[in-house]
Amino acid sequence: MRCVAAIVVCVCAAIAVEARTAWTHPLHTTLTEIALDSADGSMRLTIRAFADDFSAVVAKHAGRPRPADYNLPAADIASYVASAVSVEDPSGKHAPLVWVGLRRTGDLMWITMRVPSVRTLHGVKLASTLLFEDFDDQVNIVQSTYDGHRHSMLFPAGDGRKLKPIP
Amino acid sequence: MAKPAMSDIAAYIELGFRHITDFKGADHILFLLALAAIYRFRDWRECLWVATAFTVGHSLTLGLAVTNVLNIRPALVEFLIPITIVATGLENLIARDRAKGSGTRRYRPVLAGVFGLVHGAGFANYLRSLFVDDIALPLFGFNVGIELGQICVLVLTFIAFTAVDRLIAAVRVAGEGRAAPVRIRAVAVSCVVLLVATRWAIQRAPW
Repeated sequence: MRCVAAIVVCVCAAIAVEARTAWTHPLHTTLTEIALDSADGSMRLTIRAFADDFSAVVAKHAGRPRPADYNLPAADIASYVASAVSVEDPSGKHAPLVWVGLRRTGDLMWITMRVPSVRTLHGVKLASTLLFEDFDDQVNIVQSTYDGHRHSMLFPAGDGRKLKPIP
Repeated sequence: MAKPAMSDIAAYIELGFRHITDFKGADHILFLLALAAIYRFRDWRECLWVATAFTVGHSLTLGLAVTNVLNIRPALVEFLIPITIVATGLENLIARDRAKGSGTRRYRPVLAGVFGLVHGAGFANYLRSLFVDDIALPLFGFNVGIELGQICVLVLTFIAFTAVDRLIAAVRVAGEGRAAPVRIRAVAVSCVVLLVATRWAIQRAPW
């Protein structure tokens, strides 16, 4: 019995020592909304990301120090998003993203980009690896609205750069 | 407004499931361990009821917080979460003879529900910020995913607890110890949970 008690005490002590950091439980996620602009046939992507995490990753990608106020040059953001979000048009060709704009509300950044002349979302494939560099529990949500229905896909960090068709 | 498809709700269920079963953010798992520590496999209904009370409490705060009815300082919530774990661990150690009183069956779900209120506020800020325009479906799916994740964690926990109980019983055959294996296991698990959560509470103290 004393032996069991000694083992229990040792295990307790080891686990307590190992739990050095106060693990908080943040939800590491981004939300990308996709819609087709019927006026010009372009695909519009609006990405919502938490400003603190997103600006840190963009700054790292651009080789700059992390900005205290989360303000970054648009070119750096566009370059990072283009490297992390891949789009293939229905013919299977890589479709480049074009910068539209950025706004801030509270602790959230809204980044809008577009893919010109897609004309339809059917057959378009997409992958989102946003913030995978920093968080191995990152899960990116991609939400598409098409023909009056809304579909969602998840891109978890473990999946890598796997292109998925828009439902 | 676009109608949500099945893939829409499935995505949020998966998000909630992944969140609760993520071992990197171990506070929810540690709380479930503390809740389950006193139960045997045959008590699974009682344990499931307690875990569901936790989900109800945590869904309630989450709902109130994301709709801006309730606004709690994140630093305070982060501190209170390990406090709830410490309190559950202490209750496991203090309430020794549960077989004698039926009160445990009544107050443990209430305790879990109240502590669930605190845990729900933990990620309310994230959901509220991200889903500013349409929160109902993500919130519902996220909570369903959390409940499913909790059930999976509890099943694995009970499998591990059963193995530990058998090991303790085997070791005790030659010994003269009087405590039941389930009590030894409950004390051991509660001690680990207490040590870890106390450390977190000190590290997260908002003052």
